[in-house]
Amino acid sequence: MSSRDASTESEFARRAEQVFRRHLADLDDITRAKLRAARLRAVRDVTPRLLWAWASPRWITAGAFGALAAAIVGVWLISPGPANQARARFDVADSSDLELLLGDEDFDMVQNLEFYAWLEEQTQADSKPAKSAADDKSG
Amino acid sequence: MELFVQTEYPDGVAEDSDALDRRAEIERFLRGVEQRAFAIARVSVRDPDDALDIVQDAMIRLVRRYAARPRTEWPPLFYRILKNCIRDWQRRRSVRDRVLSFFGATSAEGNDPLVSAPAPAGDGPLAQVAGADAMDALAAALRSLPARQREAFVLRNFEGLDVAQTARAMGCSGGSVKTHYSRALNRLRDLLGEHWP
Repeated sequence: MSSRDASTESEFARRAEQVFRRHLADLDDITRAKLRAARLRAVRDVTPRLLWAWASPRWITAGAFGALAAAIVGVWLISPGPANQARARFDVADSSDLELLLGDEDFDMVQNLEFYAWLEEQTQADSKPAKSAADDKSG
Repeated sequence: MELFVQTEYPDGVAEDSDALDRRAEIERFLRGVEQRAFAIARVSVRDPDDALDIVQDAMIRLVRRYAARPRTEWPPLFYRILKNCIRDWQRRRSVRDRVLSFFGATSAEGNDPLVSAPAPAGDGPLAQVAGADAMDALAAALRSLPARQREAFVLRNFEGLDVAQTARAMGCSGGSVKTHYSRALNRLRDLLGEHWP
């Protein structure tokens, strides 16, 4: 583009801008009032909550991290990894205890399991000398 | 103007001077652009009531979505929103006109005898210049431009956005803006003549 074309272009642009400015200056009062009312209606929406939601990226970041952590935990829980397999074995091994705890048996007995275990040991200990004496007699 | 009610929000944020400052700031911005936005919308849709609705819609969208953004981002964002609002309006109008024509009716504009009257001979942009309404002539010439050229011209010339801001508002590169703007100027000059207005 030649410099003459460029200057013609800019001259035309300047005239267009002047026409537009004159047109704006001639806007009637009713239109101006309507525009003012529209503006006031729009800015009524500027509330601290609106600004807070936008101006607090730390909350957005925290939320994103929270969602990511929840996703990782969820994947870990449903995946059949070694840790979960070990936990499954543990669950099977302890299932008898669980049955005992959840069963209909007398809860007092469950609470005194140690006492009953001791009593059984004592009974076995008492029966051992008698059995060895009988063996000696027969031998 | 409605007054704020003191309200506490998480992290100790309250209805405070920040919101009031931001409200005043965005109101100042909108006051500076509302008349130009109205004129631009009117060039596109012609009807002043529709143009007012479009401008109000654009203002509300800017406030709700971008009030907390830096002040320097508002001009390109606002004109992008305005452009989208005008486009949405034109689409709705197009659909409505198709439906009306399907049922044998015509749009309100079609019923207006002034609008539907045949144009006098030579009623192009030049004749409108002779009618001393330079803005109408410019608006008519602008409507005859391809959309991208019209956008570039309006944003650069009417809104006074620089090339970078115009590019952001139009969603294209600065080079494209320069090309569209230059073509728009040449075409308008051809349509309106060297001695317009």
